[in-house]
Amino acid sequence: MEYFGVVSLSTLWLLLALRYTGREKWLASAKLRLLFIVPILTLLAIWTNEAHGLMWHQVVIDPSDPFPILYWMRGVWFWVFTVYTYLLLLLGTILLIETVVRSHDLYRGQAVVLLIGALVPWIGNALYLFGFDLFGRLVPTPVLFTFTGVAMAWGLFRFQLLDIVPVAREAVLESMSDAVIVLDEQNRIVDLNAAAQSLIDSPTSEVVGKPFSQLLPIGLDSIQRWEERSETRNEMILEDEDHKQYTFDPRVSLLHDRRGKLAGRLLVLRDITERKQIEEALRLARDQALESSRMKSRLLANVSHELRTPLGAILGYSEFLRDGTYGSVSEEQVDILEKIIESTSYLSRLVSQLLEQAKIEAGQTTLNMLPFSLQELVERVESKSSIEARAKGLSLLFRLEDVPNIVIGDERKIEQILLNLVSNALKFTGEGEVQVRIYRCDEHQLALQVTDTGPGIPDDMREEIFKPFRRVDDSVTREHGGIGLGLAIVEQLVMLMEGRIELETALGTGSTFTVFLPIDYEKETL
Amino acid sequence: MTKPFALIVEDDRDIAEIFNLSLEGAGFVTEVVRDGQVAFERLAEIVPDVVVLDIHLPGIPGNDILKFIRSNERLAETQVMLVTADAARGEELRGESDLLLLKPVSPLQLRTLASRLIS
Repeated sequence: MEYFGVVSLSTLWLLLALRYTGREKWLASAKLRLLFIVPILTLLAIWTNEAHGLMWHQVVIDPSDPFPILYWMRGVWFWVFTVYTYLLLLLGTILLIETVVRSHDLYRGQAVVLLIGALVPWIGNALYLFGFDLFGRLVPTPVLFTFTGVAMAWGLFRFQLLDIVPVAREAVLESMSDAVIVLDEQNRIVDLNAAAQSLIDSPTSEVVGKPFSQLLPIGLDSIQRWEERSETRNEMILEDEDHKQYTFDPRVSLLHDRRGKLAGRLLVLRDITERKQIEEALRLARDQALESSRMKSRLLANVSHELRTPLGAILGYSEFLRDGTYGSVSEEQVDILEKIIESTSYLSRLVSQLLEQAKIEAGQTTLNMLPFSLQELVERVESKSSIEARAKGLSLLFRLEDVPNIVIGDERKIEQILLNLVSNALKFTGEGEVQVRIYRCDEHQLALQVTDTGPGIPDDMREEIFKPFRRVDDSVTREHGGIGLGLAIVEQLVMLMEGRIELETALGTGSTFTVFLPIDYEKETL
Repeated sequence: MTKPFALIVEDDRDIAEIFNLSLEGAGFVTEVVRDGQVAFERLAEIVPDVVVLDIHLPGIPGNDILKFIRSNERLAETQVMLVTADAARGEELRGESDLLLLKPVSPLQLRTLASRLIS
């Protein structure tokens, strides 16, 4: 049995070397089993040596030695086996040496330790075979293998021999889809992975040692720029023969030697072509959406603008007709003219709302903070909305509490907010009253409160009602008219002024909208 | 007491007519011009108490006429009512005018506000 280890050692050594150097796929091959033919035959020859003497001719005990030792003369198969063994050993060693040369510093130590551990016994054995006495007549192999054990143990603990195989690292680099190029301090290519090779489109042998700028359309200045990461987003565009463009995200890391001297650079190029295409598509889609939004706003503004002038003519002539400017009119005609005037006023408010909404959506609404009279503002809102209140038989009450007359704010927008809230309350209240309270919350806040005795707002509509073109109930649109912009405009204007809206509502009882607006009061009126 | 004088600068024939009727009804002596250039020439000769001024005009635009009135010592007492369908342009000029009205403007509204301006 002791021979089992000896005969299979060289084969196992080759297997270790194959594995260590990342040639696992060879290990999987069935042909590998052929390697065990010679060791098995040798083992058989050893066991049956007495019958044929192919391994040893003679076994002699030296009687002159105080310790009798076995001597033998080697047979034919012994030499066949020896040659085979050394061939395998040589092969494994070549593989290892290759790895030592190519490995990263971190792993070079490991491979060297493995090599030493393996070579020492074999060299010793070879010397012994060819007649060099190292340990007298003792077979040196066991002693030398002890050395191997020590070397392996050192490798195990010092270099974490079994932890990571250097090949793993190399395999990662090779299989990376990012192109990796190692440059020396003079920016010549030292190494590159498969992805970089396909990018440069020349075999490694022709590329190594050449300045990178000869092979890639990149200047030294861009490398330095990428190195500093001076731009938030670096990009490099390469074109292939078909003028197809590829975009890369370049990263440069500096490599230093042990003394901290610059040894070269590591250039990693990530292909972001697809990402760029998606980004571009998104950008296009966004631009188109913005453009169509702008178009819509422009159209709305133009339409509103064009509608206002003829509305003025209808309103004006109707009033003159009603007032008898063009001759006397009957009571019935006055009634009809009143209806024309009322509808025209309503239409003109809709146009204003459309225009306001268009302006807000286009982001063209700016605040115009000037001193104005709250009293006058309330009077205007009162006079504009009282006609509608009277027409519906609702009582409309305005209360101005503890508010200085002159405040600083955007008069037109505050008027619009109040007008919209009141008109909304009147529209949805069947009977009862609408109360408007304007009061000062504190030094910097004004509250506009509108309470109605309308149907109230269901919970799930509390937010919906502030969205443009939304109504609590579509049937309401037919009954009350309007396009559902009043509250949307209120909310957007309040947001613009950095104020807030509160809504208290109960179904069947009514709703209270309270708008809080930051506002300044004229000093002297405080 | 002499009647107040209003210059109406408005290119739309109907609107100009309505403004004219409205202000006449309020006791104004009126003159209507429907072109910016003509308004400019007239303002070099006359001193109206009120100018009802549209912004979008053929010839010289309303904002230039407003600027001319404001920079002219002779027209220091002249009140300018800016009446426009262009809310955005109107807002920009609100501060320079004495009153900004967005179209449509009812005759009653115009009459009341114009009278208030000169009182």
